[in-house]
Amino acid sequence: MLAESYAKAMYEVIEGGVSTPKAFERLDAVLVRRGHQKLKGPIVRTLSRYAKQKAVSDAPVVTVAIESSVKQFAKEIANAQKSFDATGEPTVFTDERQVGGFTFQYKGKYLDRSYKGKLVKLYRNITTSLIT
Amino acid sequence: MSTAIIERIKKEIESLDLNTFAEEVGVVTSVADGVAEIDGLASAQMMEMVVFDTDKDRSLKEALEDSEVLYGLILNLEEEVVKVVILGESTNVREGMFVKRTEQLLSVPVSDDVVGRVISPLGEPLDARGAIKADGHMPIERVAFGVMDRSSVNEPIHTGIKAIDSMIPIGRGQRELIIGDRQTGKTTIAIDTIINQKNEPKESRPICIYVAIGQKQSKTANIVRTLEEAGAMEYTTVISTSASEASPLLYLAPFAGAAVGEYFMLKGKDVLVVFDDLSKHAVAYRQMSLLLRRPPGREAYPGDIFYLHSRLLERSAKLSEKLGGGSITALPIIETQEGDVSAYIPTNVISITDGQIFLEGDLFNKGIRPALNVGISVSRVGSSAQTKAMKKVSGKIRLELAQFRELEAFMQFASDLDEETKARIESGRKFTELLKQKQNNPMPFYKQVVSLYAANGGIMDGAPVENVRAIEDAYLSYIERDHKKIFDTIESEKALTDDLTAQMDKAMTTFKDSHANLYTAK
Repeated sequence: MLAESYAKAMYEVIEGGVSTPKAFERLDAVLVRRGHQKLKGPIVRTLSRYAKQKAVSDAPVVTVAIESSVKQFAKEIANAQKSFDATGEPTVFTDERQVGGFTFQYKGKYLDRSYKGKLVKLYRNITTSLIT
Repeated sequence: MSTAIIERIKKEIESLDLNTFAEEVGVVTSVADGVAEIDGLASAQMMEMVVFDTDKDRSLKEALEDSEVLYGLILNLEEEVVKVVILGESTNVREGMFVKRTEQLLSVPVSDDVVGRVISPLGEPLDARGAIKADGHMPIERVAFGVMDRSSVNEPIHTGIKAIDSMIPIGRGQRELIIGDRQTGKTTIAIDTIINQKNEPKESRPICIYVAIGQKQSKTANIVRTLEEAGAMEYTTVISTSASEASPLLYLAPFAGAAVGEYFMLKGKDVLVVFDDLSKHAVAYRQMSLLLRRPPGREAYPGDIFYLHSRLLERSAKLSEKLGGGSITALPIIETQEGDVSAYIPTNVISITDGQIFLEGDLFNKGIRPALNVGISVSRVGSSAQTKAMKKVSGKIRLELAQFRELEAFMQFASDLDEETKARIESGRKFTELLKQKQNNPMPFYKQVVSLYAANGGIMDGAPVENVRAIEDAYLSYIERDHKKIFDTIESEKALTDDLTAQMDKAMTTFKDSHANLYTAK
């Protein structure tokens, strides 16, 4: 809890323009003064999580099953980017578990056009309708 | 595979809309004790259902093999995060997992098919009798009906228990608390009331909903078996949560019961809902609130614990004719510790309800069952719903028992009693004996009236106390056999006419003459 508060404060300090090494130097001093040196590990871990989340949430992310799919779905990805008002070049990840298609993610919005998503949806609809 | 099934699958494939739309998602940042913290979901609402995207990190095969959807319920909207209680197996939720909005407030699927079934608070069947086809969804939380939508309580709901129907009558739309220590027969009263609805005419028979909150699964299974054996499951729904389930499900259970009840009430039907019990509900809510880091108050319960129960019980109502005239009668149960009714939760619920049936361990151990303490049990609105016949025969009993209790206390110090006092004590003992009833053996209202009329008329005079129940049984069998018309008239007229009382007086005299053996000590 306390580590999270430190991490949040650090994150805001760095966001506010203080350079990362300088911010850490000051953090060390504060931790020593308050006797909280043990918290440094958790603070760094939480801080890196924040940074990762920010990186993901700030840039559009496209996930495809195989890299060549990016070309195949280029038009649809561009459309998605437009409809999400996403700026910047999307970061592309590959995940073969998607079977095919693509997913697009940007600032808390998610579009699932993967084959896996469609097949799971189809399976659930059929099994639910057969039971009832 | 049959052709019909193949056709259905074909139709399903053809009609399925696979165009997906953008969804608002959040990311799980931490999970602990059934509560997940979500980053994102900026437009989420309180009490909205969310779905954990368990498929994202799975292969297609794994996703198809475990196709259970894991839901969560938003209960805290904080400055930076949303706190969600997980309505299922929280071990399946991992950090970094996507959480999707459903844009639906938590609701329970309902239809006439839920009657006779055992379901979870989310409407899923638990009785291995297949899926339940839903007609619609009822919101778990909703604002209770207002003053103008209601009418006064004017129709009785018979429990089948003489002591209650005569002295603490309950009306349709009332909230009557059943309170007492453990093992004093609280659940039995509720179950007997459900079983007794079998004696009501089918058209006015209420739909019964038994909500088990954090009960032992063996207890719930026994209750279901008892209801099935009594033929009461045909008009009953059981909403079950066991002690091993997560606290959010226990918290939701009574609200789901109220939601299912409202579905039937809005169709103009009468509904009886038993909440067994709200003490465990309060404990579950406390656990959930503490995990959500809401500030604790008295006995570590959150500040809104009163509001939790008041908004639940306020949903029982007798609706106006304009709204169909349906009703929800609530029988909440509270377990006290060592008879302490002044504890936090008991006082809260006592003040919310329209009366209470207080059960005492001492009476239970003395063999007085139901172990009803007539002195502090009360029904605030039920008397206006009592039938004329019952009103006429029950007036004397309360007085008789009150006098008996006073004299009984005095008797412990006095060694020599006058004849009148002795007679009063004897009469009080007989009435106490008469009001004893076996478990799962509710008595139809017309039989109660005949029995109590006879008791007031002196059918027990001259008989030893131990023969009282035998006399009652024999007398009711005699009326059933030789004067069935008396039962039929009371059942249809619900009142005692002069003609009827004359018939009963006559029957009583004949009975006493022909059953002289019951009036001598064994």
